[in-house]
Amino acid sequence: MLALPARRVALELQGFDAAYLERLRSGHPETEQHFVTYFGRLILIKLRCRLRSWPQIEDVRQETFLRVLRKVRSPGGIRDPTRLGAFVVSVCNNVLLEQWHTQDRYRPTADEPDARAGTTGPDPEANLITEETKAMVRRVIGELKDRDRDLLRAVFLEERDKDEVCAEFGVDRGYLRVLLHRAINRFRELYLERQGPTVRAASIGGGRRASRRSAES
Amino acid sequence: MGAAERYVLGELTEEDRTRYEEHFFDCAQCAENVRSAAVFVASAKNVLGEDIKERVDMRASDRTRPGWLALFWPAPAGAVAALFLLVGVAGYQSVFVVPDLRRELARAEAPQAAPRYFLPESRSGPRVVEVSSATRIVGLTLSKSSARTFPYYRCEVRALGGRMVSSAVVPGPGPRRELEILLPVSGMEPGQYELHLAGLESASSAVASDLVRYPFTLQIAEE
Repeated sequence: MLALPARRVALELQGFDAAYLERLRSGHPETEQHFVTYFGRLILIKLRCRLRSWPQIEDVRQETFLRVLRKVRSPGGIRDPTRLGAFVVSVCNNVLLEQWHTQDRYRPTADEPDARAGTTGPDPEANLITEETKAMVRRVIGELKDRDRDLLRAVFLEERDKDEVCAEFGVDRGYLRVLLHRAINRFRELYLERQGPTVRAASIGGGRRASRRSAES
Repeated sequence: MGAAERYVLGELTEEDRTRYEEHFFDCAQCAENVRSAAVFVASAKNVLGEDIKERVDMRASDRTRPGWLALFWPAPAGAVAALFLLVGVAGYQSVFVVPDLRRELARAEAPQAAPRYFLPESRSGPRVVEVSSATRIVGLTLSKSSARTFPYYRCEVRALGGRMVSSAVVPGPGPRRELEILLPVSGMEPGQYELHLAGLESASSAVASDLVRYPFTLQIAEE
């Protein structure tokens, strides 16, 4: 059973190459830590809207890591190191499907988290935030106009229907998206100011910056 | 711009969501965008709810303040409003000399759970404030509709038809913050109410400005 490291790891934009994969295969501790931290967070973000129970999320996450590392360390391993992320998410999808089939659970849609999963254990989203992020977000929200703050409160805290909220505030969904985009950018600015120069997670070495293959519209 | 925001807002179809996940697991830049967005949203939920929780935390933060002043400082507008709304126009002296009122005050000072509600102003329909029969106080956050801020506000709760249920003058919350009210509901009947909020230049001013109405419907569920 792999445990996520307790401390946060500041991650540079990371490309995965043959050298990274070799270190992962050989059990290099810092590379393993980076791998678990980097993909652990993405898996949590992916699963939090599909599973509400922290134990279930943790089960899927751990099983995903075990299967990926088993494959990485098998003869032949992963053929294309740059597609490590795609492999991780496909394994995660398979584990998730297996869990649903095993537990006879319906597959929730994006807007319908798995309400039957129960809420035992800590809130999964609590693993995404720290006092530091809260302080920065508090500042970002404090800088917003009152109406925009009310809008975000209605959407995220009160979890009201977004169309209804937009109609009440006299805005469209595009306004909400732009508001969120700007708030997130401001949050990122504050985060980078606080972090100072980018810190490499470890002497990963040889990691190329990922090319900007953005699917963003 | 937009994919990460659409993702955290849940606006992608299931198919697009899966495809986008397959992408950002492979694209460090998009992974960072999604991670920032998810952290922001998770933190925002926490932060946006903090102001509400502060109003139901009856523990005085400044214990060096003497006795009765602790009710009013730090100036949680709700605590002041609760005092006034609880005892009406009885006055400060009667609170401290009447034993049964003292006991009631002790109950009010003790930590207690209070549901909280956000009240928008009257341009939308009345908000339903649902409480149990055992609920003594609800927290109400009043949306800030006017750019002007006042040092004090007159806060009146009126039943349908205009009958005044309670009234209080409360300190303003300061710029950029909404007013938080703790409203005792144990003596109120279910039904429609309006909370009228008007700005005052001083606590004793007879002239109020910028009247805003916050309608709400009080529903009481039997436990």
